[in-house]
Amino acid sequence: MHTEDSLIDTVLTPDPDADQELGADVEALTDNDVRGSRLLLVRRGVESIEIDGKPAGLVQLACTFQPADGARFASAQFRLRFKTPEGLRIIDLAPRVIDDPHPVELTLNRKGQLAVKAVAVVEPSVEISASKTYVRYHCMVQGSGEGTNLARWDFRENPDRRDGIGREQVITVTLPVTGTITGEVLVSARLARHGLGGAVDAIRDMILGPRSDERSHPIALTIPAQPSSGLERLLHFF
Amino acid sequence: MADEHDPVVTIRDYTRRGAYADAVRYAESLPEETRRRPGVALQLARAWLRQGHPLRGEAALAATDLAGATTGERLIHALETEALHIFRHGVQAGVTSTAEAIFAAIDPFQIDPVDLAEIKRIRIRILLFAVTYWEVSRATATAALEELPDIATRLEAAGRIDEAVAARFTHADRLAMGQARLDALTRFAADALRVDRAESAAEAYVARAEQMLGEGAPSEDVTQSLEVARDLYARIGHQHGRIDVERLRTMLAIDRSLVGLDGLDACLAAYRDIDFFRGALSTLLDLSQLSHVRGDTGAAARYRREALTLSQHAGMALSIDADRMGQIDLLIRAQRLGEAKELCEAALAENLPAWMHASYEQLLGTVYSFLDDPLAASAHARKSIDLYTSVGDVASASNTVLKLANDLSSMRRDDAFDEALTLLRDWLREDDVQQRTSDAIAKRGMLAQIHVLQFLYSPARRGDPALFDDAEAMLIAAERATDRLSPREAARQRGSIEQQRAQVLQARGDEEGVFAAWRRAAAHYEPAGLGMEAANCQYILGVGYLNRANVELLPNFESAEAHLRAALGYYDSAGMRRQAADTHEMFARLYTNAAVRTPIEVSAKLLDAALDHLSAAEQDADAIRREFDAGASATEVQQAKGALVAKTRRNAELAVEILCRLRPDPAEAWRRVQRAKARALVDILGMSSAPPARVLSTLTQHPDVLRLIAQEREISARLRRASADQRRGLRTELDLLRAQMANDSRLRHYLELRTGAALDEDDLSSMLFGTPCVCVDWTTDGERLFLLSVRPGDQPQLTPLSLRVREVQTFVQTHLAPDTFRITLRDTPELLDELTPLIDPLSTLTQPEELLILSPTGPLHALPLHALAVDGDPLIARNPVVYTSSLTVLRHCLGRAVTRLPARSAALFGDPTGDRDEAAALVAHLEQQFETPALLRGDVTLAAFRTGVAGRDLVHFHGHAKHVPQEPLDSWLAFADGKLTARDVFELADLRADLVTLAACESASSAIAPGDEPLGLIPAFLYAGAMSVLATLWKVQQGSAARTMRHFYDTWTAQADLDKARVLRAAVLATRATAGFESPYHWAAFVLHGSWH
Repeated sequence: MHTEDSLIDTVLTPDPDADQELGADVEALTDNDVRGSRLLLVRRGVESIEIDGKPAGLVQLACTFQPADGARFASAQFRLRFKTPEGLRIIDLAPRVIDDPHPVELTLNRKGQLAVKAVAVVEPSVEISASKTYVRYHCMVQGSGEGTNLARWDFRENPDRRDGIGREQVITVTLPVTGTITGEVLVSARLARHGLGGAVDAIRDMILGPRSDERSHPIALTIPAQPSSGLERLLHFF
Repeated sequence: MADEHDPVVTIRDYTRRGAYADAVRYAESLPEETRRRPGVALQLARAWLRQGHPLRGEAALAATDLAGATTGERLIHALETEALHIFRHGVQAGVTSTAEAIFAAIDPFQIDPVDLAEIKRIRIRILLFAVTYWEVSRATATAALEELPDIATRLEAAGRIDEAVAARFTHADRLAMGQARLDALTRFAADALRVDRAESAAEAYVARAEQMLGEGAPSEDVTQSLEVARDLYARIGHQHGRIDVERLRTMLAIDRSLVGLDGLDACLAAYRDIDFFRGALSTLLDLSQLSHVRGDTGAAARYRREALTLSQHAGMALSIDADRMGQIDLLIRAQRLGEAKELCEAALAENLPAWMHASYEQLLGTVYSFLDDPLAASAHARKSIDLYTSVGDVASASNTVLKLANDLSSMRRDDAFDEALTLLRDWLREDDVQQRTSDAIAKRGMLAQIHVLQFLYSPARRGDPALFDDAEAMLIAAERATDRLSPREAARQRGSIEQQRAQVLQARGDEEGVFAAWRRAAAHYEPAGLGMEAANCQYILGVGYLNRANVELLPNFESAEAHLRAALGYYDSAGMRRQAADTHEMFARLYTNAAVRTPIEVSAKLLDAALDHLSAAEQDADAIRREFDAGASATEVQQAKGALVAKTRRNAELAVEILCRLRPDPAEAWRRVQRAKARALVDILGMSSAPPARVLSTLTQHPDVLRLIAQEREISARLRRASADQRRGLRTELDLLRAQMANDSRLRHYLELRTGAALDEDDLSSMLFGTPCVCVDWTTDGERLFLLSVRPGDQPQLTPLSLRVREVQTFVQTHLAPDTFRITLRDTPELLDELTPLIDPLSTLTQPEELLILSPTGPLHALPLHALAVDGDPLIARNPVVYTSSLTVLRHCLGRAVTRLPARSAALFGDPTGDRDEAAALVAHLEQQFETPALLRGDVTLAAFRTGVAGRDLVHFHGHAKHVPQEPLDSWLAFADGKLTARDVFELADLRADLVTLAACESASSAIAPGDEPLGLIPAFLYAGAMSVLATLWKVQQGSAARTMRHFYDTWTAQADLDKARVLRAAVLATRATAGFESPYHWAAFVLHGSWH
């Protein structure tokens, strides 16, 4: 599928449990300060692939943590829990570890294993950038969850730059199935306000909704049965 | 005979007795025109300067009416104003220019010769300030100093006794340290008494005592000098002299006895009472330094702030300036590089002398090196070299050249390599011309080193073999230069050159050559009597053959043994315990590696020998621990701690490798693990701070025992400063004393605290007699994890675990970090299933309902092990659980158990910061329950806590806490008026609570040091006297926390027969069963440490 559908587009709200914690870190941002924080999750591609001769799927999503004015997200956790088909286990996911903002390219082998490879690029002109296949992560990323039904990524800003996690995070999983899959998304993101010299002077932890049944957001995706040429748009296959 | 109506004489008399406030009062009673007379104003200014208030001194001089003054009076006034300017504003660039201009303009024939002598004396004072900062040459200052005896004679002949005595004191005081200065001060004191100046004689004896204290002289010698000073001061009723003496006595006691800093605080108060600013300022700086030494950075900063305020008030910029470099140095060592950089930059913005500029540039260069910015580091080092050179301090410039060359070569760029080489060659030429042989040898060594680095890393010349020829040529030239040195120094340098040659050969890949170079180095050292250097070569050779033996066992095994034995022989005989421990460890590694490649009967003997060497290494490490408790510097303590912690860990890991894998022996493995944990605890908590108040208070009941400890500290303190010859005698003395101490049962707790006595199986059985329980330890061998379990009376069981240490570390860092723990524990608790292999064996090794005493290791300390699932349910649902960082800690806690009355006395503290209503509500509930008035909000002060906890059975604190991972003993609890750190907790008097509850965020968070012992508030409270501590692993949500706490206390008070572990389990499970609180986030944070009774 080539269309980039929006899966989630919602405001982020303060985490009531975090607000109730006995903590002595730093000042909390006010409700007014956090207004305008949003999460946008977009389907970049859901493609059929073949793993050891069997049909399988690749899902690539882009999530955007949009901070309130005058603030930045210092860190964010993104969790994607697959619910159906029952017993579904993730073959692999990417990225696993990103430590610096170099451009990377995603690769996929015939066993469904994903990898990111640093690429040397000359900063492209506007015309070329429309077709670029590489991704640049602005922050440090840690991903895990292969062999389970819970994919998790943690995004943390560079502690020296202190300039937030960046707008868009591209995440990819490979799954041993095609057809309809359902799941839920959970996020927690720490909104921070710039102080002097980039230091944090106030924070607030944000989630999808205040009540326990609002903390996750359901999603459903359909992996087509037949491979398409759209895969090349997302990664290099070898 | 003094004229009692002469104001000059009266002020001088007050000054001589240190009665500055009286002098001020007297001066204020004088008519203004009298006060402004040149002689009176000068005397007043000097009185205020001695008091430590140059601001007032300056004002007095400025008010002087010079209308009718003589030429001499005018010149004295002008020069004294210059001298005061230094105190007021610190030494600045061109500090002597005005004084020298005034002096140069003097026509000696137009001035009273006695006034001229006084003028010269003041000028010399200024020169002596300036020479410290290279504003005048050493030769000028030395020549000026030598004029002082004649000046004194002239002044004395004219009846200016005080000025003459001051000149003689300066002369004696400025001699180099050592016996010559001590003798000069004694002669001066006698001379001062001859002219009836007891206060100056006393001051000389204080100066002697200060020097002897710094040089590690026997306490009785220091004390003797102080007693003379005290008697002299008493004879004239001197006001601050007795405090000066007391201050030094206290410093001596701090250095060599088990005393805190209270005595110095008392001196500070006494100085303040009599407005003696100079004494107060020095004491504040001493307090700051000593607090730093004891690791209390908070108190150090507080005293420093007070010193700054005081110096600003008194206008004494000089003292603060002198202290700034030390402060920057400490900041760099503490890795507080931003602050260090700011201080350097602030100093460089001032109008400082060129030499000080050079020093700050060098420090700033060091900061940038640590910040991994070699470009900036080099730029500042270059400025520093230029500035040092401009003032003639060639030695400092030369050292900075070596440092800069090192920084440049670390950039691994060709232009930087070229620049380093050019710089070194330029300086080398100059060194050769000036015949600075040692400097030239050092630069040739550095040049050789850079050629090797070029071979390894230069983009243009990487792999170019010609570089080795260049390096070798440098070393040959350096060798040739050693002919100009004394035989012993030549041997030292030749040995060192061979070591550098070994590095070159190593890079060449010439392994045989490397061995030959080390052998040649040893051959240079041995005949010259450089035993330690020779032994170090033997050690390196031994390690080299050990590595070879891993590839080809014979004949390398025998060579390794022979060289290590030679090294160990020297280290043992010289009492070099750290090196001896390292050598034992290498023996153990050699034998262990060999064991896996030899037949079983040989293998068994080798492993036995390896274990024996590991035991010997630990004995050496224990000896280091004992020697390290007397007032060493913060850096020394820090380094020694780090080394010991790492050593203990390596030792334990090798033992675990042998006893868990190569020749499984669970019982011996368990004993070794217990020993390692006990020792690591001591390394982290037991050093650099005085013992907890509770241990001290027990010792003070036995003066003879205190005397033994004082003697031990005295010898330890002297040992650190003693020469090699003196050291052997002192060590023998120390060993005898320690044997005596070890036999004294009253010292058992104190000695255990220092060396970490571990438990054996019998101890365990008696300690846990009658309690159905299992002790569960985790331990590591590299990446492997093992579970060691023992039921009292049974043999320990050893179970290898499938999880790797790295996997647990990654889990903690990823899923239990401060910004991820909530989403993990509340929203995705299934992630904890990844950790269940850590406790899986417990389903078969333990029975339901048995008490589990969990003693984690490394990253496991951060895990809620009780929340992991066994047979589908959390462990705590199956078994009551208590934690302990080691069984040694548990023994301390259980050993303090006392019979308590059914009605528990409580100290309750809630919501100190006034922002947590639930906390206040719970504490109000507890108030009813324990029938004890609680302290709430603004009433929860530090003082109220300190006094409130004394003697109580229960201490409940409900509020904020902060864990400081960089400096865990600085972790704190928040009070209405400040913070109580973990370090402060050690000082709590009469803390003997059955339970201390810290219902605060992160109170159980512990930084995990390499030695495995968690730090922070819990061990602090346990060591201070609490029998158990209930705390939280992460920030708790106040609703679920209050619910858990309420349930805990309700059950605890209602069911007296239920132990605390079971009470907590009931509370935790009740919270878990509450709608909305099902996830581990809400119920798994609470952990009980220590005694469950």
